[in-house]
Amino acid sequence: MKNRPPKLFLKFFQWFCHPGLQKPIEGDLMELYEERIKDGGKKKADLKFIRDVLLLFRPSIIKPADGTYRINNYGMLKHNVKLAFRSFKRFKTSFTINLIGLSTGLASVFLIYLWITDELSVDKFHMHEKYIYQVMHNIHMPDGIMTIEPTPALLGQSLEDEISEVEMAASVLPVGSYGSDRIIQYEGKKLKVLDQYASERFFQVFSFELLRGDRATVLAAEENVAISDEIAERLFGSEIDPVGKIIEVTSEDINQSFKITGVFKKPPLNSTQNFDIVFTLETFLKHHSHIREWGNSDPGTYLVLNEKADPTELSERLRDYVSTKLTGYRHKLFLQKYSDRYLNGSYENGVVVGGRIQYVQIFSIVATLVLLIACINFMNLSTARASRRLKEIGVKKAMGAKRASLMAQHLTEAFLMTFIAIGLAVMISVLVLPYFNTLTGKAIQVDITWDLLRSVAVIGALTAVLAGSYPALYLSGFDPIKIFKGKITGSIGELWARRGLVIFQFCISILLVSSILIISSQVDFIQNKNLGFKKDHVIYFNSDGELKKTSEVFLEALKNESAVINAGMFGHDLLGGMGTTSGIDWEGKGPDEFIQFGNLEVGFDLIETFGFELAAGRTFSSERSNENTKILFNEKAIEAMGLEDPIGKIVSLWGREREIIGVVKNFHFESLHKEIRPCFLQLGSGGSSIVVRIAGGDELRTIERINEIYREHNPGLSFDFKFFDQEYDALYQSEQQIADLSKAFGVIAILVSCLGLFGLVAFTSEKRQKEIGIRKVLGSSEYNLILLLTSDFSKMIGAAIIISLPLSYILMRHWLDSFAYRIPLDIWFFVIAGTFSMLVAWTTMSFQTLKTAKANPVKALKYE
Amino acid sequence: MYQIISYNFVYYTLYMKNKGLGEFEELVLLAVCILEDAAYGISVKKEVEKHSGRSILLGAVHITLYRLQDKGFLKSELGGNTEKRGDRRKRLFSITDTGMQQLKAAQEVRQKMWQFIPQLNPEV
Repeated sequence: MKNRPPKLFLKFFQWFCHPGLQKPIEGDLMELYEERIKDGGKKKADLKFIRDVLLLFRPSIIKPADGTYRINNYGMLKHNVKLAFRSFKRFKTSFTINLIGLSTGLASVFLIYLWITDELSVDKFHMHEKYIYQVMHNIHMPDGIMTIEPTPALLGQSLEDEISEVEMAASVLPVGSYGSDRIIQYEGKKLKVLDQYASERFFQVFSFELLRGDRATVLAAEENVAISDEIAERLFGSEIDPVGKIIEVTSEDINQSFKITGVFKKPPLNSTQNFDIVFTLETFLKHHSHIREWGNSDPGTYLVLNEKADPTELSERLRDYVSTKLTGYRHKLFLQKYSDRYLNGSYENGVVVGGRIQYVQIFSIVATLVLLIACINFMNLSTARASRRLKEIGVKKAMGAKRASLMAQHLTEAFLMTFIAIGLAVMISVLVLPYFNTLTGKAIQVDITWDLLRSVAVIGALTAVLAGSYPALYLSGFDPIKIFKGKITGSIGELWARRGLVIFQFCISILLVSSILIISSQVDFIQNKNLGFKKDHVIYFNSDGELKKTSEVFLEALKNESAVINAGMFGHDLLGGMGTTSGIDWEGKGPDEFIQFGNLEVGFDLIETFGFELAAGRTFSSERSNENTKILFNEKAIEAMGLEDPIGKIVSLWGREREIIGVVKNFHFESLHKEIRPCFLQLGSGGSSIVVRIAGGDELRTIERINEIYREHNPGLSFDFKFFDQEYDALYQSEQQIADLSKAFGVIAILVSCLGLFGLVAFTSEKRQKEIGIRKVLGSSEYNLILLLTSDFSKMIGAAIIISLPLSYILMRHWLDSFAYRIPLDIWFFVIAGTFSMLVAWTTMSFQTLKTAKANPVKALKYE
Repeated sequence: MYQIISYNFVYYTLYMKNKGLGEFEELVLLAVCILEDAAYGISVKKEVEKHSGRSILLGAVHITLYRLQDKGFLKSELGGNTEKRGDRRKRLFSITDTGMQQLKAAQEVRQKMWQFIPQLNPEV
């Protein structure tokens, strides 16, 4: 036969059709199908065939469910469920332990699942998501390659014009490029906004929702601007249509009016770009014309490639693209998928080396391990209990029960257990979610989708199978004759399997405990490290609006306050944002010597305000003249330049001579992930922020006072200050979150493990009740009895400690390597982790062992 | 046990309630009579379509055929197969005496009623 009807539907028909009717009807269907092919072609015939099959699906054609078969199945299921409930009732301790264990395990997995889904969704909402690539910039320096986002401003347009695979390109100067907050004005109303500058194609490349305006033309003219719905609401209220309105920007660099041509919806939380307003890149270029050169890199460049493009090949081809425009350009370009950058945002020597994705991996593993521990509890308790169910199994087998049906019975128990645990786990997850959100700094909400339900079902089923299959196999495998002869005493292999599982559980727990110890001390170390300056009691705020002009008067006014210890202007924030330059020449500099210096622009008194310590010389002083021809270095820089007795020596910065007046001790001006680099401090013309050190004690009053002064000098703007130490700690937020999360999971893991241990001890001591009774009668002391009951488990935990500590050493070594400044990996961490685990285990066991050892032997021996 | 009772109950109500002939059933029955020895699913479907002028689903025909058989109006036997059908033999239907009686009874009822329509028989 040449033509076959859709196989799936034919199979379906054969499956549901009454066997007696099947052949004739199928024949009719086939005959009709052949005819229809002749009449109207295969496609039509197929469709009609499908329709016929579906419409044949009715009661009188469907095969009746075979009476006995169905009843028996149903009956068995009912029987199994009933037995499962009875066994839950009978073994209340193990039921409770399993329920708590499995539900916490499942809840951890659910929460981590939500977290991961959220992490994976970042930047995925753009329509062209699959084709958006960002051009990354590898800066080749003598001590390695640094990967940065900024690229030449001309790159985007140039690529779009010259490279056929590039469908569209957008150059985007991200929020914060200007250094301080941007203020927009509308009829006297002032508003601070997060400003972004983008080229014409921005809204075509990225699919941020545009409520008003046209994607193609919204940024077409230079004075156009698009604002977010939130800003529109705050500026105009809900009544007035913002489109066409004119807003003003008056600041040092940009001083002009703009026409609103579009309103976009505030970018969603799972977008890495977050901005309130989009000016045209042209505006920024107009006022900062030096950016319009190939040698300067400022905006990020985003490309939409066409479907046929091969990104790897194109990335290779673009490597030296800039040098075709600017001869002698040494830095290279490469492409990275835009949506990959959030999770893979770490670079080493110009190559992507992961990033957040590692945390995603770590936590998926940890959550799975917690669940695994819970599953092991289930296995251990079920198999340990076997002896109490042997007779039941024996009788069933003797009556002719097949192994499969016994397995079904025990699997039913596992599935039922998991099912109840899922219910509990979902409740726990929902209750814990708000705390989880604070912990991870997310705003995860649970939307009930098919995907979610399916995942919950799959996770649940896997758990049940994992937990239930071993007990089911084990329990259904006994030989009934041996059971009745009482010859089953538990094989050595089985004992070892259980021991192995306990050891495995504790390995994981100890691993987690020692990791927590090390991670939290590292985080502590960072937060309390001597940074080379004092970060407490320091507030800072942007110097904007009127303050730009009147900063000296303002600072004077501040210093007159008794509670203000010192204040100064600063061009940076010590939180990572700062420029570097290699444009310093000094006496004895070799021709190939190339040092990147950090460039910190400070105002008078700033060094004192932050409390940078001086190693030699003096700082800038407002009482002397010509201070802007002076310079300070850090010790690292002096060392790198190889200058001896540096005070008074002359260096040249960008061709202008500077006298070294002082050397500051090394301080951390960048993330602690990086080593301290050489840097210099020069007197800046105008800083972007004002740093104030206030006296401890009555900070609130002092800040209120500063606020008053601020308002006098800078009317119309709100006083937005930040505590420096808080912002500083926020730099290590991801480490902090990891520390908090691992703490939570570590506690859960050890708790669940101990629950299992408790169950096992309870069981063995119950089993050995008579033995203990006899021992006691014969004069054994309580201490000896406890030792007897505990020693076996202690050995297991000892083994777990021996196995897991080296493992955790290797893991933690690896993690700590990502910090330039880290704690030494002391033996004490492992000693503490080991002792702690042992103590927790002993405490757990002691609840049961004490009870057993103290029990009156008469009670145990009375019944026989 | 409960299952069995309820299942039979549904069965009973479904099949025993309308012992008479439905309109479509009558058409199918007539078609089987017309086709004599060649009445099976498709031929019946075509016959009914030809006379009634409406398109009919194969499933509906089959269901009706088996229902009529259950009611005792039709009997069936497995017939030969053609190349098109592979090894799937046709089930050939033919009318039983009860079926014929039922058909005739239905016809008579109508005939009688027709006679009493004044518009058609002005002299009565």
